[in-house]
Amino acid sequence: MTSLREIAVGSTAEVELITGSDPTSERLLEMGITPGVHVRVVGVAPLGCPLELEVRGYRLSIRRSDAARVAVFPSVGPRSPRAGSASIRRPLPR
Amino acid sequence: MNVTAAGAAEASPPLTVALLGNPNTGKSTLFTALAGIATRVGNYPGVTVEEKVGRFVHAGRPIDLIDLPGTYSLSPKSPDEKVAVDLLRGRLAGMPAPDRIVIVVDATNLERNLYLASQAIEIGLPTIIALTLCDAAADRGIAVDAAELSRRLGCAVVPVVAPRRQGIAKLADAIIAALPPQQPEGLAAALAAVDPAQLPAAREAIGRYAWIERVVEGVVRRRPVARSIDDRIDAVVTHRVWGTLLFALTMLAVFTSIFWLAAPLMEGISAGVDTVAEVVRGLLPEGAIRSLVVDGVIAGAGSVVIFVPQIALLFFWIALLEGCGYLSRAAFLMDRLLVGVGLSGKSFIPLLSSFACAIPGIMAARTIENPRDRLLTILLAPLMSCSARLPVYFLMCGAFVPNVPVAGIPWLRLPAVVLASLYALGVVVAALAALVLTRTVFRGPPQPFVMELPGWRWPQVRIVLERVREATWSFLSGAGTTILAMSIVLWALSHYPRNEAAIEAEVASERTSLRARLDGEEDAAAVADLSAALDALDTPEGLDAARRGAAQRQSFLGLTGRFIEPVVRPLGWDWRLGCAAIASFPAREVVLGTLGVIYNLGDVDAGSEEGGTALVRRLRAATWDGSRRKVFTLPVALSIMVFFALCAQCASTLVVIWRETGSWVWPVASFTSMTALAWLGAFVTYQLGTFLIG
Repeated sequence: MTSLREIAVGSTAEVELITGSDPTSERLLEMGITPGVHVRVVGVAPLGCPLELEVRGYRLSIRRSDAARVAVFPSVGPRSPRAGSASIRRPLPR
Repeated sequence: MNVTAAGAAEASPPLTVALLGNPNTGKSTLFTALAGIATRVGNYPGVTVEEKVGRFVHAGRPIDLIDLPGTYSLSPKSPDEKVAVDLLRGRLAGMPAPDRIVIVVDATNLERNLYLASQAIEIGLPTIIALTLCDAAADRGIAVDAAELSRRLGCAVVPVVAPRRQGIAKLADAIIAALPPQQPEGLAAALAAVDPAQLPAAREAIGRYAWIERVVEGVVRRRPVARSIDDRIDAVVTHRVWGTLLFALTMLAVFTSIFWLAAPLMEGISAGVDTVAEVVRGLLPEGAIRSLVVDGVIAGAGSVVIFVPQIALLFFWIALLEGCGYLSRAAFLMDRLLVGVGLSGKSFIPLLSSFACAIPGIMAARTIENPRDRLLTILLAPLMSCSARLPVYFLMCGAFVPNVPVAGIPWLRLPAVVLASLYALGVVVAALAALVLTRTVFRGPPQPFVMELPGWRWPQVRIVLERVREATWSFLSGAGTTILAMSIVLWALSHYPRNEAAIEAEVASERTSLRARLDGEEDAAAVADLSAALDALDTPEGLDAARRGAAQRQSFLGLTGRFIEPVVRPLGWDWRLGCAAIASFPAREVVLGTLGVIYNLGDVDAGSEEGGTALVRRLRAATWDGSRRKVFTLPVALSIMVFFALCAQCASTLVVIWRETGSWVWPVASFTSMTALAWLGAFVTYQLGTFLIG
């Protein structure tokens, strides 16, 4: 299983699932890191941790240890134009 | 509107409106734009979460706007978030559910903001969505179709640019007109459609975000931007070299302003208080009342107001950095450094500020949402060597630490090494304390550290000033009154019981003892010192100083000093030093003044060259009672400095800890453990020093 902590800076990955059911996992989900979404690893702090991510069009920071609980499908591409937006779109029922 | 109708409307009960939103959505700006300055700031019953309410009148209808703590969802993970949720659901004791909910939604970050909005709409109260930061969204090439969004969400959506007050009147109209929302189209179906194999929390998030993705489809239009402003700024700010450099410069600016820029302001306050004291001293007849008013009340009030410049300057910086988005970047850069001891990057600025003064540092811990991290930061802050310890370090290093090179390096002098070691001592002890506390008292599951890095924006002057005013006022009205009361109690303890006969007897016995020592003394320098001390007793000032010294030594504080002598003996201290340590409890910086009084110098300004020299001479000459053995040797000086580096001899800090934690447990625990640590440190220093240097 590949996790978000293994994704290179500048790359985008699609989230497969969030492991764990504690408040941290719950918060990751609430912040929009849900299965299917694309997450770009924008950068990493000079001291090596935490990571800066872009998801759903905004930036957030999580620690490497917490990134390990985000399972991803490996590399969508180095700079996907769809970075930061969800992959699945269905029309709104009218 | 005619007069009668207006009068009737005024008489109608105020509409209570809860302002709900994610952190960093411009919620404070919107609060100020709607209601102006908060009319009531306090704590929610039973918790230390701040309650902020503002009253305004729109179209003749009074409206009470409640600023709820920022929250990401309605399944709370912190006390702040719990308050927001409980209030909305009408579960907060003594507070009925609000009449309306205004949900602040950041137009630059619609998807994530709609998560909380979708939960809040489901409560069923009349709901209005304020779409903020529309200007910032336009800059980023984002356009939101508010009318379509309103239709899809089933409630009013009003775009606003709060700093320029655009859309504010429309929002107020919508607040008054709001009706209970229709259930949002398709939300229930989206939640039901999630794979039941998922965990409940995951089901909720997956279902809502699936629905949100469909809501924003066609409502949000993104003009492709080559490289966003945020991208370009972040590339520099979080860069390995430039980011670190910028961070160092910013922290230098913050620290310089509270350490040095505040100094002239504090001196000004101090001079002002002295002037008032002098005027009052001239107006009142000599006696207990004058002493109470001048040395108790006025000096006590002065010791409260003196903290205002540092608090105001620190909160100015915090509001500025928070307003532009740098505060969370600073926490991002420093997180790794503090994770090791069980904290997060958010503790960096509060702890850094504590090197100037623990009081603004402890107050700055308000920016830490995580309650465990916040409490731990508050408890560690007083271990950082604050500027009030510096006069003690300077005096002791200057007078008793030999100015010799260390390790044969000519520019590396021993006093400087000692000074640096004292600063390091505080940091090391704090790190060890954090390690121990996170493994004992504060053990528990790790709390989420998922920190938003908000988009860059210009800080709002009004918000910055409001933040400074709020922090200053909460200190003056909350901690300030208690510090004043405590100063008066401590004044009484150092002035009573006052027995004039006993004071005269002690001065007389001192004269006799000086004469006796002079008779047996052969050393020329000691003879000169002793005869100077004897001559001083014959001048009016010298006699007055001797009387004041005797009075202080005979006061409750002085008696306690004598009583605890067996405890301070192993530190190499005589009872006078014990007295001075106890008397420095109102504030560490008074310790030198207390030493001056105890050693019969009267009020010396130890900071001035003349006063400092006089005090140093007196300290150097001090001997143990009934002996010629000097009190102050290098090991004793080191033991005093180590004690002051680690002790919690600062009543104001303890009061602020009480205010910020809402419980007396923490200041009591803090005082007890820090005093024990200080004693232990001083004991080891003295015993080791005596063993090594003799």
